[in-house]
Amino acid sequence: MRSLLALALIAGCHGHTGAAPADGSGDDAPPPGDAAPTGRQIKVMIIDMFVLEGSSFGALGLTQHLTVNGVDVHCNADDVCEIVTGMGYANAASSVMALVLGPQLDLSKTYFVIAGIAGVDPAQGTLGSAAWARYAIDFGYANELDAREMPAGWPYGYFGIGTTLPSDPPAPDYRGTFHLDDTLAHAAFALSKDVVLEDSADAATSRAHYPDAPANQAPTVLQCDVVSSDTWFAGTALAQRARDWTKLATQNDGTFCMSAQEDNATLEVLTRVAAAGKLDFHRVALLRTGSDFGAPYPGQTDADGLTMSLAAGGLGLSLDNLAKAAMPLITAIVTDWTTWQSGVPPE
Amino acid sequence: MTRASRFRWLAIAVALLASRPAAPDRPVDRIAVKVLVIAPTAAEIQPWTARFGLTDTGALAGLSPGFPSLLCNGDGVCAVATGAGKANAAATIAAVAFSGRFDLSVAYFLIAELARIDPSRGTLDSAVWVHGAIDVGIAWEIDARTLPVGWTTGYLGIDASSPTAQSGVKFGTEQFTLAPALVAKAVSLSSAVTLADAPAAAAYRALYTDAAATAAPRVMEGDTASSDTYWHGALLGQRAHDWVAQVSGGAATYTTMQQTDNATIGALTTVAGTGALDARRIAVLHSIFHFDRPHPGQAAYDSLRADSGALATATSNLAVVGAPVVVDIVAHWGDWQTGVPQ
Repeated sequence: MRSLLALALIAGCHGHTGAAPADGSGDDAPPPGDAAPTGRQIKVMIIDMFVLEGSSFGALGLTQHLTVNGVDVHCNADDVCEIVTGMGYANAASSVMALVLGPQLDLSKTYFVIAGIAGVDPAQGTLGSAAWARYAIDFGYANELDAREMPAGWPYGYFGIGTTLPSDPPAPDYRGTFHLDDTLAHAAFALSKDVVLEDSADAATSRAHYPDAPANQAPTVLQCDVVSSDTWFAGTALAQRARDWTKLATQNDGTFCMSAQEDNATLEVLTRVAAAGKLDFHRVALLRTGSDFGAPYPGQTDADGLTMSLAAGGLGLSLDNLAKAAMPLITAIVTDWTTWQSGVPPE
Repeated sequence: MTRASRFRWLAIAVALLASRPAAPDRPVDRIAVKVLVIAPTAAEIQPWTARFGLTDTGALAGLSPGFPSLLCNGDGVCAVATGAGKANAAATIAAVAFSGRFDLSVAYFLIAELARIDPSRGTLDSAVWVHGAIDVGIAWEIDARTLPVGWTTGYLGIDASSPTAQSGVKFGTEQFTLAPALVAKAVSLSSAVTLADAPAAAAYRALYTDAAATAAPRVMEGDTASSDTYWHGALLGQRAHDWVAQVSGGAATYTTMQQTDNATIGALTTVAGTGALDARRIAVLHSIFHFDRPHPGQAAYDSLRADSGALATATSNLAVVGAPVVVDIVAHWGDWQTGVPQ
């Protein structure tokens, strides 16, 4: 399973590289300028980070291909499209900016569904859990001291840039908290909460090591929040830092459950371009599904928990459950576009 | 479009001071850029503004709210602050490149920013022309108090079995090597400048014991480590040293640390894949405002927060060291536009 993930990640990388045409075909594309949106009106844009995440949406039949500023876009006749950004902050930000500034697509009414796999906090979920986020919090944009060199009594070596202590809230100039639209997050959750998610015998065996629910239960759809960092952290102390930092960054309104490597970069781009009027940040939804546990079970070391995390049986589930959890929202938008085009309908 | 035809376009644009009729119904003025100076913060751009007479070119969709437009002069010298951190850096580069407002096809890119330095490699108010940029943030991590026997750090490669094992996972932005001919030319043009140095910085560097840290500041060369996580201390410094060596196969030696270079270069490289710019024209200059670890007798936390005395001088040194390169590019554009002159 670990080699499968490595293969998948490498394949994702290749998919991204392939998105940039070597023939310079984008060179003569007309500059978009700052004019009113033109181009094909897109109803839903799925943003994935590596190719297997995209493959999980195969049922959508995204067989139309176009290239926007070097980014491969796959669409269907219902104006549902999908891109793969490549992994990590730099790839996510540059790919999404390239997409949204491209002249071919009108994204002014588009619903964006960021859909990827993640580490899941056993305090909130389990392998295969699917979480719709209200908040995305940046974990990696921080000061860090090695925990063996930090001041006595600190719980971990991370603290916010421009702050003094790990218990301090983010500095005023911190741009690492994104509050997604509550109405959309709630609608996405309400549409999908009764979906029966994929489960597996391997995942059941792995989660049985955890003494408490929900870690040792079958996966369900959740509403809880995502932290992002290029650094894929794990273990007891760093998971606690993610929980604490989420609380500090949201005035206690958010709850950490998923850790990912791109979302704050994607959301920074969408925020900037929304400010220029090219898209509506109220139409951004964030879904992450648990591929591995972000903290060990009692008696397991941090190192074993991390290095064996991808062998626990969650990867395939998390990929399957991306589409399982996202499809009710996507279907609702497409089938009732006359309502959704003017906003999230009241329940 | 071939390279030669790009030059013709550029020449026409410069000669006529006219717009390139790129969109049939809406001509757009495209600024032909010779040099784009890039830094994370507006404070790092400030030394360039008066020196090169840079003025606002108008708001651009997708830039950082703290720096909403590029500054340029009539010679094709422009500057932009991206905002701190990788997300901001990559977002701004892509926004500039895909705005349609700037012709970057033959531009040089000078990433010029403040950085910290390993005291075994150099000192405050020195300036470092960078050869290799290695991302130390794209990694797995556990808390360093829980390490297995034999591990020296909590960082390891993604899907690796230990900190010394290789990772098979590649994001594509882990490592960049800048064009040696451009680095060599930049060093040659700037090595004779008189660096600004502050008495307080001189006193601060004297607290260290490494010969490189206590020496006078100079223009030098080295390799850099990038991470959004602004780490500090001897243990994480050693980890950066080991990581840079491991990822580069021993080719790079960790010298400076900062947050954004691998995102900035990564975004430029992505854009280069569309043919809109030439990734062999990227130079990186680091001006040293602090050390990456404490001096003897100092705690890591206190070192991170200490005033080194070098912030103002290091900021001014960005343009002190970088300007000779920018001036040469503009003055000898006929040579530079086809590549780095010998």
